[in-house]
Amino acid sequence: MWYEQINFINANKIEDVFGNLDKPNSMIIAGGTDILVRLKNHKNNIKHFININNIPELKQIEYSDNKIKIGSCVTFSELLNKTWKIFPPLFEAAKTLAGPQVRNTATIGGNIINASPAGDSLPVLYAFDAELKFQAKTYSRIIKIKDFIIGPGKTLLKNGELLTQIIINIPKYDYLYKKFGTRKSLALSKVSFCGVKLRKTGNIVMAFGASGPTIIVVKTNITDDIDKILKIVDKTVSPISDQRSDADYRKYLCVEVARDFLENL
Amino acid sequence: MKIKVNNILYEPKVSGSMRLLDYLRNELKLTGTKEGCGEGECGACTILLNGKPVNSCLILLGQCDEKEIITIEGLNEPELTKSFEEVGAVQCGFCTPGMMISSSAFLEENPSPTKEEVKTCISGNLCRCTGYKKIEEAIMLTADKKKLVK
Amino acid sequence: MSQKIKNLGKYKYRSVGKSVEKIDSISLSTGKAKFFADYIIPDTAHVKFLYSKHAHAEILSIDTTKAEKIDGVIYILHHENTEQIPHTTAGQGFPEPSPYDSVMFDKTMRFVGDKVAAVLAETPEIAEEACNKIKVKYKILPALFDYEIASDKGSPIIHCEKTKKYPIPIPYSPNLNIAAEVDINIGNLEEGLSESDYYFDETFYTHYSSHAMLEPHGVITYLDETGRLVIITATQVPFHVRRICAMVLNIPIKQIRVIKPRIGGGFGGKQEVFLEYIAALFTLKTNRPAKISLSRKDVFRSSRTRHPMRVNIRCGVKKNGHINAFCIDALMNTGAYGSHALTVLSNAGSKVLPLINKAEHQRFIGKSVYTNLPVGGAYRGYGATQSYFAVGQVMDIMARKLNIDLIEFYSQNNIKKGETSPIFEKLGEGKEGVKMIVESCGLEECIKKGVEAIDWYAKRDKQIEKNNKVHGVGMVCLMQGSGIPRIDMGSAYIKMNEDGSFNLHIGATDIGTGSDTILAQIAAEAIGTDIDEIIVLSSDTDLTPFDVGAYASSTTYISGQAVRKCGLKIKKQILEVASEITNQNIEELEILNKKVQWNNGSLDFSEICSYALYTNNQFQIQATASNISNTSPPPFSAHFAEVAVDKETGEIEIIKYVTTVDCGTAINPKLAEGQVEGAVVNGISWALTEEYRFNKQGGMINADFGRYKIYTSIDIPNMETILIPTHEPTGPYGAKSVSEIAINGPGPAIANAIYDAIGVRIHSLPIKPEKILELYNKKNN
Repeated sequence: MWYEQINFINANKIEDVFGNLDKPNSMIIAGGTDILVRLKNHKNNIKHFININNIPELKQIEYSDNKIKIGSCVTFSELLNKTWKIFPPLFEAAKTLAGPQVRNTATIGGNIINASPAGDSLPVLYAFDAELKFQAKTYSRIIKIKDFIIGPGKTLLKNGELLTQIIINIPKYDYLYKKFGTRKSLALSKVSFCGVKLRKTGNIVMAFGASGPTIIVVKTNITDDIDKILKIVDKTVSPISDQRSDADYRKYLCVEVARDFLENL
Repeated sequence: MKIKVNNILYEPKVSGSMRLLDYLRNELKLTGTKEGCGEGECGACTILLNGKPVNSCLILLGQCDEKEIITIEGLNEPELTKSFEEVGAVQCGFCTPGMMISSSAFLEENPSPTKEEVKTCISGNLCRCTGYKKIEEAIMLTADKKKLVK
Repeated sequence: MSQKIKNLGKYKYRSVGKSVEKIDSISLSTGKAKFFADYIIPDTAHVKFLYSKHAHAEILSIDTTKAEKIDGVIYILHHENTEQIPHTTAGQGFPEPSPYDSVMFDKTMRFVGDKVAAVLAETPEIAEEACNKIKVKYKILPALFDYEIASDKGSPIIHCEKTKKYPIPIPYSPNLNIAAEVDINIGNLEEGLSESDYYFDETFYTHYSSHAMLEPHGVITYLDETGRLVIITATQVPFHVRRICAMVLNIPIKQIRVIKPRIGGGFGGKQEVFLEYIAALFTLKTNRPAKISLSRKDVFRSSRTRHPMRVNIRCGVKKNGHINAFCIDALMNTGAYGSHALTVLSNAGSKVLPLINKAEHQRFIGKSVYTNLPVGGAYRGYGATQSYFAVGQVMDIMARKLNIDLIEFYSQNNIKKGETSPIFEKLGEGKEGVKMIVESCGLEECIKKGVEAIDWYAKRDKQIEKNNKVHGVGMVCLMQGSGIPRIDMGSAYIKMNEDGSFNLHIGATDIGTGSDTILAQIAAEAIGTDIDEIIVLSSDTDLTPFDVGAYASSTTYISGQAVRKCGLKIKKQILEVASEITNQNIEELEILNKKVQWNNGSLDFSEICSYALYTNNQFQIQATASNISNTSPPPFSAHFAEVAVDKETGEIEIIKYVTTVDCGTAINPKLAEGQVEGAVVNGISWALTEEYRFNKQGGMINADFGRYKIYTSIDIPNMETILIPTHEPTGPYGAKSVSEIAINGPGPAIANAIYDAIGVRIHSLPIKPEKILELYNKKNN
């Protein structure tokens, strides 16, 4: 591959990253499963890969006080192993991502930075209003995922920043995760869905993947009229027609999966 | 860079941005690992990285620094090989090395799998010849044989 | 012949009919077996192609100056520096029943993926970079994408050159974009239709698909120490490769040696000869070994596909259930070139109409037309697949109209043992067919076993609903052929070694099917030895005798019979030598367990061969045999599908899929089952999830396994395969073919099951949830 020319740097601690991110045309690589496919088909002027996969603190999952903190380099296999009890919605999303080999390398951070509207973990992260922690040489910041991703493949990532952690508050909730694909494995989603009802307030958040330029979120409350909500869903989602499915059918799926979720609460 | 491939230590002098697949096939001449798509969709290039199956077309050599790699040449799974032969799970054989790697790692962790689990373990390995049925049978048969031995 | 062997009754065969282990299984599963890309030839240079981005364009100029200046670029080929020798890439016997409408590099580009130029460079990356630096000026021509209007006035003409013609005398009208035409009449169709009680007119569409064999196409060429050209290639047709390369390169056949390594699947896609001569020309020009290794994207865009087809059926049936008139009118999109344009088309009739042989009036009208889309080619099922999607559903439509159970309706109209069909004689491959009688037919048994396995009567017309999903069952009956009669030839050579082993050299081409194994079984059976004693060498044009290659369901039936004949000759020689050694009459001798035996003694094979080689009247025990067939006995099959349709999402789940197959004697039942299961899953995947999507410019937009969805392990339904043994008297040990037939069933069986569940008729593939839902909602509103 042409990208053999790129200088490869292994970062062993976070400071190593910042030291190298200064270099012009450098790019962070974690699992690499998205980046390498993209680079294969689109040659660009990247000069340095900075591999962050060996940085121990980026591979941690912490859980306490109904809060889960996931390091950005946690792979989907690790999510499968570690979240099935503490955070089932993410477990289910991780289960649907690609095949075992890709799950063994693809990271949750990569899924976020890649910012594909069909990213498998994203509806869950949106439905729970996840926060992203970034570190740079001189500062760190926390931003909500819904504010960070602004379009397909577009984010507010700043030069010199590294996504280090995904923080999710988990109150008591009911949920539904569902993914419609053309086939069961190795599938990109036609539509993915995560609906959450918070038990305390009755507030409902529904997040739709592959249904617009980013994840589409519809908020409502358990006391609202279902038909009214579904009309809002129908108006809000804006799927495109691509090779996976036609827009009208995707829209229909969004409404039906929302109905399924709301009627069974 | 230091990597162990099939229990032999190498210090590659090539770019860390070389695909592991290219390093194995072109530099080490380990051609049992196949390239079917180059995009992580078919699993023909599956190898074990620290014991876990990954697509060697989507891993760069530098990402394997200080890690252990097992390819089909170093797998040494006589029961699995024999089971594949017995039930007729090999047709063209192009996907087979990848299937062997995936199922070997899987059986290591799940000595008594269900049929559904077996299906999932090879869900990242495409096969166009067999319809997968006999491959699943071969993996189940291996699990049964290994249990008997124990 | 020995009484003892005859008396073994049901178990009269020692090797045949046994699921012996595939002889290359271990070498493949340990990664030792070599595919073309695994050959390491020192100093190999790499080839990459510049493909046309335009569906239809004329190259006005091509400037390679910048590309040539790149360090590591060795040679560039394009239409200005290569000879324009018209040929077909179809990879068939000679003269081919396909139009000579291709040249190595053309001035006109006819689809997105047509080859503009090729670069030979030190590395694939450099070759790729150089391709991007070639400057091409095009004159864009209007493109034709809708094959239904290909022959309309005003449609762009795709092949204008006068040099384009068939090598055989058949109609060809490229001025109307027609690549092939067929019209066969039995009786008087219109009269028949007017006499029938019910009349039907239904049209169905089938879509593009990719063979998606796991190993992408590729080839390595080099010159050996004597200067001969060696071609190691992923092909189904090594001998045709040799002939076509000699023609296109204008060098003698004797200058070329083609070696077939292990092949990672073909399914018809590797019958196409479109890469070998380019690598070879680079090697001849530069004296460098050259390697072409297509990327998956290249395979999708630039190799071959299943021809899309519109199949219209007009037919009539009497109240008593007798089909008296049946017409198939097929319009086939052959894409930019006419590879297999005539024969795939013909098979849409010849492998389908004989199944319902009792119709007095039959007609097959077919037309293949050019478009500016990807090129069709041979693909497992070969036209029958497309046609059965229509015919299988029309049978269901008729049965339902008559209120007769589909099973009964098939049984009433299906061909039976001892019967014939006029179609066999009228419709061949590029010429008339061959008259023949069906001498083995297990179709009734196939249906019976299938009905039991799917529990047909408990589920048919019941619309059982579980969790918002409605269940339904459907079925279809099928036939195919076994080789092309009086055209396909296979041959074998066997010699004996002094340890009692045998070398079996065959031109037959194992592309993953297991033919090396089953041919070894046949050799062992004929000689009277064990399969372990047979050393197989297949498909090396210098070392093995001729064979047409792996296509047309011919290897077991045609090449298998050649091996059997050859084995029997060897057996005779062994007995003659034994007779000379022992002074026993040949009639007193028999072969059992690798020994020649008589009343009170026995001789090991090793003793016999040692005598022949070293002791007296020395000679090599060896033989050759060739085989053609005057008939092409159809294998038969019945497919049964149970589906559950989600009325809310249109998603369908296949609950159970049962395939019953009569392939005569299964030489190796396990391998035969494997052929069936692979074909069924390919058929399901084609019917439900695979799809070529094009942009407005005619380019495929989903040219990767992420978006072109072939089935994975967890998509596979509960499948049951039942082999129904029959004995085909013309086949080796009673065998017929098995490799293709099972791909034809899933489309119609699933469509019929969906109708059974929700009353919706599917007229086009693929059967996507959105389509089902739309039809279902339309029906209910």
